[in-house]
Amino acid sequence: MRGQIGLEQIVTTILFISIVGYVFFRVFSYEPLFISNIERENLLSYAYQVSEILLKDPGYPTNWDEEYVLNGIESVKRIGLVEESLNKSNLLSFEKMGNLSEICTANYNYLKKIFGNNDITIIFLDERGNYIFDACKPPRLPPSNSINITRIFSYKIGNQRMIGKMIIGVWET
Amino acid sequence: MKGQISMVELVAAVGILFIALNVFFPSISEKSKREKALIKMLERDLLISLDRNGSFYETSLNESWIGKGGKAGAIFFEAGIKKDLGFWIRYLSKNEFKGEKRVQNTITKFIPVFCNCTDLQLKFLQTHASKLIINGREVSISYEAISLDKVKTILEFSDVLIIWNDKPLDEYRNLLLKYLKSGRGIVKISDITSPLDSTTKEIFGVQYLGLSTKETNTSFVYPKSIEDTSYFFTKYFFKVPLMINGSYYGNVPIENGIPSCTNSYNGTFDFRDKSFKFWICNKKVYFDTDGNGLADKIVNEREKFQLDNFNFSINYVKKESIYMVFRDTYNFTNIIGPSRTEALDENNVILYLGNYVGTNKKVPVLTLNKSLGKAIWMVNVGRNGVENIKDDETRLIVTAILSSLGLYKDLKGYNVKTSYIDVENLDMYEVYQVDFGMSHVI
Repeated sequence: MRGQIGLEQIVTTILFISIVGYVFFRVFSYEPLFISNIERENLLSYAYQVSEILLKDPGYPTNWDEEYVLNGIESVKRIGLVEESLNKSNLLSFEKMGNLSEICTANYNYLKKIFGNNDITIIFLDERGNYIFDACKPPRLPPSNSINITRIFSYKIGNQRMIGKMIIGVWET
Repeated sequence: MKGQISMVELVAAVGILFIALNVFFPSISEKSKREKALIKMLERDLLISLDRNGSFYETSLNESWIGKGGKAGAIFFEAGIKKDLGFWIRYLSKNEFKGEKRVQNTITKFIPVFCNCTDLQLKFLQTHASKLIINGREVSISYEAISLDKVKTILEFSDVLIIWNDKPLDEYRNLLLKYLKSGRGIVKISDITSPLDSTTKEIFGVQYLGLSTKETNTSFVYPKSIEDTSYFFTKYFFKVPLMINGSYYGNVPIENGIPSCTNSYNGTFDFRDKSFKFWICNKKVYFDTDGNGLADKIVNEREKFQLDNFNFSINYVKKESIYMVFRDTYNFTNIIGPSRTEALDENNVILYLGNYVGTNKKVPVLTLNKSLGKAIWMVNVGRNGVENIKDDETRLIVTAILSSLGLYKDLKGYNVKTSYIDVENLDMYEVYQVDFGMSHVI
């Protein structure tokens, strides 16, 4: 009869709407997950790169810690913590670690610029988990969902060689 | 009716459609390997940092390396609870890991040895063949008497099995083959004076021959390459410092105007058919080289010196004991006794007493058969009583134990493993590998 809707039409309409809805739901639910994963991976890569430079490079100039004391922050072009006289990865200079902490407290924005304008925290801990220096952190506290990466290194105080761990935290700004 | 479909067909069509959609739009799950990479990075960081720190050798051979209070344990984790050989760790309070390290290709600090021998033989081994220092680390060999019937115990708790008797081994064939297959070693100390049972023949690769020999001095088969069977045996024999103990004596009796010394410890160094008295005093060793009971030669730690035309050095001088090394070349005398055997494969002969009269066959004193595992046979140096075993013969037994050790042990059950290779060469050139494994606790 004209103007009437049969059972088959109702069922097929429902079926059509469900299928289209299902496909939309599946496709669009991936996107936020992917984006969040990519952002996380991106932050991890960034933290990893920073940690690699700190652990494997003496910085530029190689004696930047001395240059910083003599000529100020502008003389520091790249920060790496490897002891320049030995130039071995994971063997860090205690003085450079100290100067990094100092720069961080006095010139956080310059440090941020050196590391690519991303906010960052750097913490040095000794074997027992105690702070070796004050934590390097921005004036405002990092969010609780920051990405952390931990690296292990060796350092020397006088003739005593020690092991420590460095925690680098980064987040979306 | 035209244009109508039944409900059954409809339901089937819907089912097929959903299956098809799942095939064309599968749920995509991306598994990041980042977690594994981060663990691997931590492992490598730790191993490299220990090396940079100059403590890699010391810490990697220390059993408490990763346990509670161990260096690695403390570095990684706020709390560590040791569990057997492994450890459970908490890292930054967020992730939990378990981890373990294993040292490969080197002699570890503790060697458990089971001995199928008499009480006297066991006592002798415990007193004279248990303490070594290799590249500055103390190595202790622990001996325990065992009956060959205790199959499970032998397999679980020992690295080497010594069989110091002439007992036929056919009854224990399966056990011994299983033992060898598990990477452990067997040392048999016995004189072979009659035809052997098939298992002894099969495992040790020797058989009774019964010919005569006129030689009295032995020769080592010196290796030409690391592949040769005798390579590690001769290396250990000539490089490993073995302890000889002394007892309190007082003033060193001296002659020839050498300076005297008080509060000494006195012992005897026996080899071949010679015996030399020595006194340990103030990190020096005083030797009586002419047998008159008075010291006439002073030897310093690591100084090369001669006794009876053979070269020795004392690599470690402790308060009551010395750790002696035989240098360069050495031969035994009157060691073979009544044993008349031949090696089924002449390449397995490591120490021999010339050739049998009228033949090119070597007269074996010690053989190492590697066809089924590491099985060493040597003549019975204690045939005249263990109290008459000399220091050179004790060294032969200890070297046999070290040479039969399985030096590779798999590190199983960890997702991520990292290996690090290092070299140590204070007494003996050692290339060793540390495997460090970690994984998440699920």
